[in-house]
Amino acid sequence: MARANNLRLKFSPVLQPCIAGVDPGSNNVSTAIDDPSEYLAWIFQMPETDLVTHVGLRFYSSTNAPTYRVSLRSVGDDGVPLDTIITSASFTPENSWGGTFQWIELASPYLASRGQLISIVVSYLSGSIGPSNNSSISVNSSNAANHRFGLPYAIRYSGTVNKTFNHPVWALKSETRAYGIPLKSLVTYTLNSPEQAGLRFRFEPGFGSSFSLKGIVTELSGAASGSGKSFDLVLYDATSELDRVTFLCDIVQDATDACILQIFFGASPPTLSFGKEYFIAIAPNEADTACKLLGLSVENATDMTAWPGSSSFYSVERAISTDPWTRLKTERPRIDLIIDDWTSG
Amino acid sequence: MADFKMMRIGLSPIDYTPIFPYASQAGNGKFLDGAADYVEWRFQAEKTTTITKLGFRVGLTTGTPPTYRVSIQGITGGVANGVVAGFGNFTPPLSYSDEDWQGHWIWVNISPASITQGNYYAMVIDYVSGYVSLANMIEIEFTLSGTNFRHFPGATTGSQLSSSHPIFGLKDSEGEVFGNPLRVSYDYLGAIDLPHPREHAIAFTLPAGFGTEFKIAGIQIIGEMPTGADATTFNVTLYDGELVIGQTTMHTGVPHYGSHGNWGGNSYIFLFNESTLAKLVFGRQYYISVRANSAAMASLSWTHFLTPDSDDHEGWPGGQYFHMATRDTSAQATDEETPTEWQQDFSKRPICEFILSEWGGPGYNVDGAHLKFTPAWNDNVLIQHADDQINNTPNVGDYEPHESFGVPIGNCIESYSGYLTVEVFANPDAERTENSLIVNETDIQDLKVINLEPWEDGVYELVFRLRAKYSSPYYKEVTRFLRVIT
Repeated sequence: MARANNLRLKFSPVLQPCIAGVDPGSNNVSTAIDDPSEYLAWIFQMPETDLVTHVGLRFYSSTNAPTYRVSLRSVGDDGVPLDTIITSASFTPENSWGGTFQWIELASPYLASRGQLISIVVSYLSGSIGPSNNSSISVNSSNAANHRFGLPYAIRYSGTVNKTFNHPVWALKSETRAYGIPLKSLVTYTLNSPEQAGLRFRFEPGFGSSFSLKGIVTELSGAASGSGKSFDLVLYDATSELDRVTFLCDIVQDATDACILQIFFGASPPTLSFGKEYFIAIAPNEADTACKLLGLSVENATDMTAWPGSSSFYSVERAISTDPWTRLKTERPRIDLIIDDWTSG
Repeated sequence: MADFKMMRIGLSPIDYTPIFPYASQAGNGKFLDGAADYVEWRFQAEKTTTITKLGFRVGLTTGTPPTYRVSIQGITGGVANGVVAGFGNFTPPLSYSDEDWQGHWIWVNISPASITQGNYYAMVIDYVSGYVSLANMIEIEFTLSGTNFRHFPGATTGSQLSSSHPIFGLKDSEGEVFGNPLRVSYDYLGAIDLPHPREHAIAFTLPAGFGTEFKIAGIQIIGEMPTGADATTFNVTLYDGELVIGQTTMHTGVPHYGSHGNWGGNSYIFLFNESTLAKLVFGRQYYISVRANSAAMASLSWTHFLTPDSDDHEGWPGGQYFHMATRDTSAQATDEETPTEWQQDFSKRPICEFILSEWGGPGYNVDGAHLKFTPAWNDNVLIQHADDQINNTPNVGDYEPHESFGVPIGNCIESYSGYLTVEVFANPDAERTENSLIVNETDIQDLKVINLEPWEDGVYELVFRLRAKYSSPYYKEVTRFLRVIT
């Protein structure tokens, strides 16, 4: 068998390609640890059995911060980290860490088991701490107003345990791959004709022999930026165009809101091969379109191994259709693939 | 090729795809109480076909409703252009009559309309004739309520597409359903059936043809897990029939709990904690269930959608391959206790998605036993007979290496129904005593060809005890009989 790398097989009748407003850069999703009694925690199950060497933290800001301790701990029956530390590391954030994602190496690696309930805890260790001496860490996603996450989840402790319903931003790393949501920031691809932006994808060769792509579900903003505008959804392999369909922006009749679009290619989609790379791009047909493709980014390309499909799926863009693709291996656009047919070997 | 039935490969690391979280059980309604009122759904044809029925969800009807028309039209300038490809008129019954229109899904026969895959169309309901007013009209529930996105496919009662997910359906001359037919946008399991907790599952089959084997690391579920007040646990379990092949047990206090209210539920990702995930095979039905381990739990729920009719499931990604199953059981299934059989409910789909660990192919078909054995001497007839039991006969010939003593049987059997290990008993008694054990528990793929002692004429019984993990109390036994043919 081939590793599926936690690809999601989706069969909901309702479309949602990914979360909106996941912005770890927003102040309201970050919490400053500015009192010795406070801590932040993330509760989750370990995705695979692996030797954990690093914990990942996304910093919103850091100003003359004290030394903190990050630890792995078991979780009590009440869903709160236990006091006993499995392994830990101390770190002193630099002022330049604001807006960056940092991997903190644990003093000793820990072999965590698949499905094990475990927690990451960040707490004060030593040094001056207060309103002018602290780091603010991105705890969870922003704008989960319509969405509630019960597991994994994050905890803010400041005298009382406060479990959050927003999606937690947690991350672990072993020598070979990352886990969790090592999320750095939102990204936006502003498309002005003839620019193209989209997804490079490659399924593992062991998945089968051939498949075809029926269409995509994607999230765009400004998809209907004025009367008579349109954009094309184009499928390429390494050398040539394989399929194309035009989306009429007037169908949406809205210039600014984010849109979730399910777009099909026409009849007889081409047969594609596993193990081979393809590109699916949004290509506006007018220069003044405000159409934007949305995406997410990580700090390092290897961090993408934590995301469904691992490093085989990332963003691409180019100025004109004859240019080579610029490969953005630390970014992933908000695109889900709708498969038409799938054939085993 | 195997039809993927609109299933999607999700790539987002942060994903609430399985749920439409802020949808109320009722949809957004439009009163068609004026002659100029209409509801319009815009969509792309998913397939080149001939549509013969159009479907929609009704809210209220009042008084003596007039006659309306539901039609498929072309698109010009992004909106319905009045060029009708097919239509049907309908007159809702009197609002006080006993016919089931209010709050129900309605299919209306239309004149056949040919649509082409990838082309854009509109489905429109508008007024035709009769007295129409607030007291004599129909309400169409045309979208789910409340999200922050505009959607395509989408619905509108004006020009701009709604920011909510559309509810509409098309059925072709072959009975295949398209669109998004939802009888109820979501529903809850409600309180656990005390004192015997009911077990709710998604029954699923990944179609044969996709590959040979796959593994599921976990599942994302939308629902409401129990509170932690009563210090009990619940299980999320992967079953092959009634056999447990994956499980995680969670204390009620761990998941962040919250009443779903209008939220449709909370999102939970549960991962199985087996050191080795069970291998699953395509074309075979499995279940992933949520079950309370205490009758004290009264709030465990799994949000789900309801289709108008069971066969309307085909309009949803995955078609009939994904639906709800339930059973009553007083305790975890064990060898000693036989739970009731799974009851299949094709009208419901639990809201969830799978997290795939591995996906396999190419390979042989997996349908039935993949057990190979050979006698002490290579009797050609027996070898041929054994080969017949392997669904890869082109690759298995007489006297091939794996038919020699000590050679791993390997791939010939490693896919057996998702099991991992095997013990082999020869002519065992009912207790399977060690006297009859001829192969200790080992990985199935490491099972080697063995020499059996020459036997007397007659039946020779071999029992293969299969487990999804080592020393599991749950196992399945497969019996094979050998007989010398001379």
